[in-house]
Amino acid sequence: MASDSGTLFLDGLDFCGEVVGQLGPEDWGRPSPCEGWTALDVLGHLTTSLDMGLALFAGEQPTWPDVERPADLVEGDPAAVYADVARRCRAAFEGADLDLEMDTPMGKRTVADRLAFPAVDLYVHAWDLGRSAGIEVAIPGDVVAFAHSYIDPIPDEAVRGPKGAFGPEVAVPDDASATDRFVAWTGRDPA
Amino acid sequence: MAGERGSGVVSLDADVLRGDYLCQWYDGDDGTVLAERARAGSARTAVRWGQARSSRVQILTGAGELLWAGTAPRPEAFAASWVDDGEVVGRLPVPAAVRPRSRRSLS
Repeated sequence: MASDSGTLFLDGLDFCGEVVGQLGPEDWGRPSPCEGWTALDVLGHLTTSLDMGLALFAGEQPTWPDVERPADLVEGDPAAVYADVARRCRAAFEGADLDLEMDTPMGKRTVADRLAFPAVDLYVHAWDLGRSAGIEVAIPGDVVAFAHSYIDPIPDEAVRGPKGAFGPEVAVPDDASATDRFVAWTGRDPA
Repeated sequence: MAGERGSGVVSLDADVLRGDYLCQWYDGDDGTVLAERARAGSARTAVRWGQARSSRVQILTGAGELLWAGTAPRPEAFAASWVDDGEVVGRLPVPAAVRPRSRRSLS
């Protein structure tokens, strides 16, 4: 997983950035597939995932912002906010020790291991942003495979539900695309 | 009164996806108002955060064990108490102030 999560994270910065760049000022207030969130909330939440990456690259435990809504984390032009944090992530990645072991509730995990979450987050929320603005986003097959390899071994009750990252899996037609199957697996309705 | 230190109950839940603990302090008359929330990189840090807010603290570990970590006597519903095994302390910001209010999930 070591090189995979790093590569996916860096590629994800570009992938998500391309979507962010397509949203216009009128799009940020639109509802997103994430319940109760606008596109700007999704972007604000994404900055917390990227901040998690920054903390991991520095060998520190990620922290949590104290805000009422994720959108409160975005001050000024949303695309510029994203570009700035993405740039800092790329710079921090250069000096990061991905093999550094850190404490987690499951015992020691490397930075590369822990990077899996923010890496996958970039692609899933890029799809959310695209959906908010009517932009079709296809999630690469290697990202889908990586996400399954990372999350499938984790008990479902730890992944879904009120305290989990995903909602219940959504049923899709047999001929659904790979991206639709993937986002449905994360609890999003691709219809 | 929501957010009064020493009251309510704290729930510390291992987040196996992120690899840290979600720390939530519930207060209010019926204990359902989310008064404050944070993240902690280790159980020790999480428990310290919880005990600084309430005498009633529960922790769901990464192994799926629900343990009592409060300074108040362990309720009968809990079979065991959390034991500090000397893990490395993670970094967690110290909250500047108690802000009693409900919050939306960021996850």
